[in-house]
Amino acid sequence: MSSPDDTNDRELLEALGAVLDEIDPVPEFLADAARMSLSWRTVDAELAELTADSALEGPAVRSARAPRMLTFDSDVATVVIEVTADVGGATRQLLGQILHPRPAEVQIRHLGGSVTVSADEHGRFRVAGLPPGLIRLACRFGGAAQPQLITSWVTI
Amino acid sequence: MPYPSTTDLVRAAAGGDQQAWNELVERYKRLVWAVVRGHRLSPADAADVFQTTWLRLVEHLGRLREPEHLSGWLSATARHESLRVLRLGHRERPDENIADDPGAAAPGPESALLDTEERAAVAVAFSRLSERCQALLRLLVADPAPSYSAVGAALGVPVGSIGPTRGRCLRALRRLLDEQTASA
Repeated sequence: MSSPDDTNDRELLEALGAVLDEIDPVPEFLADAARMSLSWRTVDAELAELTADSALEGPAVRSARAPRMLTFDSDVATVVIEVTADVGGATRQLLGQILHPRPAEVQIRHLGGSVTVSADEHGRFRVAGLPPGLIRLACRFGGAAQPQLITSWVTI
Repeated sequence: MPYPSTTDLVRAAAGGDQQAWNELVERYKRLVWAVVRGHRLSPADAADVFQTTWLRLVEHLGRLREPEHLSGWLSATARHESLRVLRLGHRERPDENIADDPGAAAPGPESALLDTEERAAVAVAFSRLSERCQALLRLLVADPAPSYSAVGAALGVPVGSIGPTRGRCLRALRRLLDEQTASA
C-alpha cells in the first residue's frame, strides 16, 4: 500500500508539522486558560443553550443601532438578554428577562469575577459595567442554594 | 501507569479530576489550535475561540454521547465558534489554491527560530498556499493526527473529499518549494 509517493507525502507533512510547531505553537497562556477552565464546571444545573443571536442575522434584518438580543433555552426556563454598550463604550449593559416570569437571583459570571442582581416578579433584571468578553448567567429560583439554570458561555 | 483512554479521561474530568482534564488539554490543544488558526482569525479572536471551545467542553463533559469521538466534537465546536466570530466581524474568506497575498497567512521566516534553510523554505511555501490548503494541512500535521471524520467536522467538508484535497495541497506545496529552489 505504501508507494514512494506516500512516503514522500509523509516526509513532507512531518517537515511541515515541525515547522508549524516552531512558528505557530499553541500560546502557553491559552493552554493555561484551557487547563483552568475546569474550575467553571457546574453540576446539577440545567444548561440553557444559546439558540438565537441577533448579531448573526443577515444585515437586511439588523440595524446598526438595534441592541443585540441573545436567547438561551432550556427545559427550566428561557432567558432573553439585550446587550448594549455602556456610555463610553468600554463596558457592557444587560437587560434581561426570564420566561416563565418569576423572581430569581441572577449571577453574571465573567472570567474576572461575577455580579449578582435580583430579577423582579416579572423576571426582569438589569446590570451595567460588565467587562467585554465571555460571560454566562446562573439563575437561582425560590431561594435555592445552588443555581438551577446556567447559560452557555457567550462573548459580549 | 497505563495510558488512559480519552473516554476514561472525559469521565474523570466530568467528576472534577483536574489531572485528567489537564491530560485532555495536552492531547487536544494542538488540534483545537489548528482548527482556529485555519480560519484566519485575528490573534484576539483566535484566543477567544480557543478559550470558548474548552469552556464548551467543560459544559458538556457529562453529556458527551460518544466521548471516544472527542476530536470530532472539539473540531466541530472550534469550527462553529470560529464561524460565529467571522460572521460577527463580517469578514470574507477567499478560497483559491494559491493565496493572493503571499506571506499574510503565516508568520514569515524572520519571526521563526530556523535550524535550516529547508525549514525556512517550507514555512514560506506554506504561507503561499491557499487558505483552504493551509487549514487542511494544519489539521493533518496536528499531533496526535485527527481522524478524517474530525478533519471533515473541522473544515465542514465531506470526509470523501479530504484525501483528494490532501493530495492537491501537497502537490501545490511541493510546486511552491520547487519554484523557490529554482529562483534561489
